[in-house]
Amino acid sequence: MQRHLITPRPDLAARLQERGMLYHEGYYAETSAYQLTANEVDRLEAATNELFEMCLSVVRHVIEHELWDEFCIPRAHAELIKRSWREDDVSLYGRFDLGYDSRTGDLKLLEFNADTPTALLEAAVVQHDWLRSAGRPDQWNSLHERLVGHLRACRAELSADAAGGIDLHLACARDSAEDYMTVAYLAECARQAGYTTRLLYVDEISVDSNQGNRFCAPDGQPIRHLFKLYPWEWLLREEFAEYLAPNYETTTWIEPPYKAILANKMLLVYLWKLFPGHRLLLESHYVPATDPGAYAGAWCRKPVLGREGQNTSIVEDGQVLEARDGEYGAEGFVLQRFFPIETFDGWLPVLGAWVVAGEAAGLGIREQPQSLITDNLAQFAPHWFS
Amino acid sequence: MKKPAIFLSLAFAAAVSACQQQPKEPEWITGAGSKGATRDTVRNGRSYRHYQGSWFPIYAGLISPGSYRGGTTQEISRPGYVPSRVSGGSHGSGIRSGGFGSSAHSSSGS
Repeated sequence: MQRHLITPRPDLAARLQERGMLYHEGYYAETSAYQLTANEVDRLEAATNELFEMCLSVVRHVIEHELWDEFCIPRAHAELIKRSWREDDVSLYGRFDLGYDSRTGDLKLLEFNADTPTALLEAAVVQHDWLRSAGRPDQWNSLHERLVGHLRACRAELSADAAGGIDLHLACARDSAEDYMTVAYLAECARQAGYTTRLLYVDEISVDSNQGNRFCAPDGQPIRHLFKLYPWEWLLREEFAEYLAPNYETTTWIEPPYKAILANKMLLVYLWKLFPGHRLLLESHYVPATDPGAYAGAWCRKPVLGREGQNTSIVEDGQVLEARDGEYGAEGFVLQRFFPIETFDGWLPVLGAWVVAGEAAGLGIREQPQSLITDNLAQFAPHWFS
Repeated sequence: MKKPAIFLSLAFAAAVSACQQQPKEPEWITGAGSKGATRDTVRNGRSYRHYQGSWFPIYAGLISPGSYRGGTTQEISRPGYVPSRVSGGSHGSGIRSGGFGSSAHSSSGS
């Protein structure tokens, strides 16, 4: 893999606006791009598929052994999660964050953004647009086609209205332009797959006692299928959580409830337990929130329930090398062996390997200068391979 | 791996531009002054931007004065201060909303 300096297209801002990127300053500058070999892409694709299968093994293990407390999942929702797994509820996508060193070929799982991954539009559309403009030969990116194709295939598993149409509501939190951008793009994919779509905010979802406590949209219509860019770990702890299980037959949630297991950092611990020493994994252990943190060697310490690098720190022999503030960590931490990502002119790229419908589907690279922790301030860089 | 161009429909552009144009539902802006500069600060681990006399929480580099009440310097400096949302409309009999969404202090994405 190589990093190249590139010249941003003169009409970049207009192009990004046209493709639905609500913000790009400081995030998508189009001043660097990564070049991979076809062999590297083949390895990434195979590794992504293998990791996904391993992750599903963890879900099976957690359900079989009822490890709800270990994953900080309220037991009241265990049956909901088990049922969504048993019935193989519709799932769209996920993103593995991988550390890579092209000099040694080492490729390691850093984490799995299984439930609410963003950085989708730039990976699926924006970098593809760049590829065409730049005239580069190829890109590992079939995200858009796979999303539309999978949504089309899922129509058979969802309930149609009297006219044969399928409604899909898509919800996100109010706070984030990035989240809105992601659900707006997924809504576009769904429309291309023949759905009727409606966007709403998560706090607009209502429960109507006149309709058997069904989940409803702001217009009062029952929600039959709901894509939510909102973590299960939050949904399961909020006021309306009690209506989730009773509404299982009437509202299909996408991503499904079992993603609460996959999106949890304890996944890393159980991957290591089930596949110790696996070449794609980093040694990982759970430590309680009160742990003093004096560990031998270099480790990355991540909150069990955390987001965007918050409360993550890099520690070496008890010394904190780098740390992020945040509001997570009460449930304890996962200690993951530190992996030194290859540096390119002071930039550290993290490879975001996408999974759609359970299969490897493409790559999005985010890079960050002089930082060991990738957070929501990393920049996106397009890639190509030859 | 080669593939045809991706065409996004007008509906997608409309949905995204609606996010930018509606004044309170919500409008996300940079909050830059007439010279293009912003004035930011960090209090209790959260970033704020000064806009029209108040401090608004920054998400993904943007602020939304239509969604959040602005705080004074004193307020945002207070330990435990959480930016509060501008409340929404009322609901009909038998319908309750707001039972989801209370955990969203920052981006829900990852």
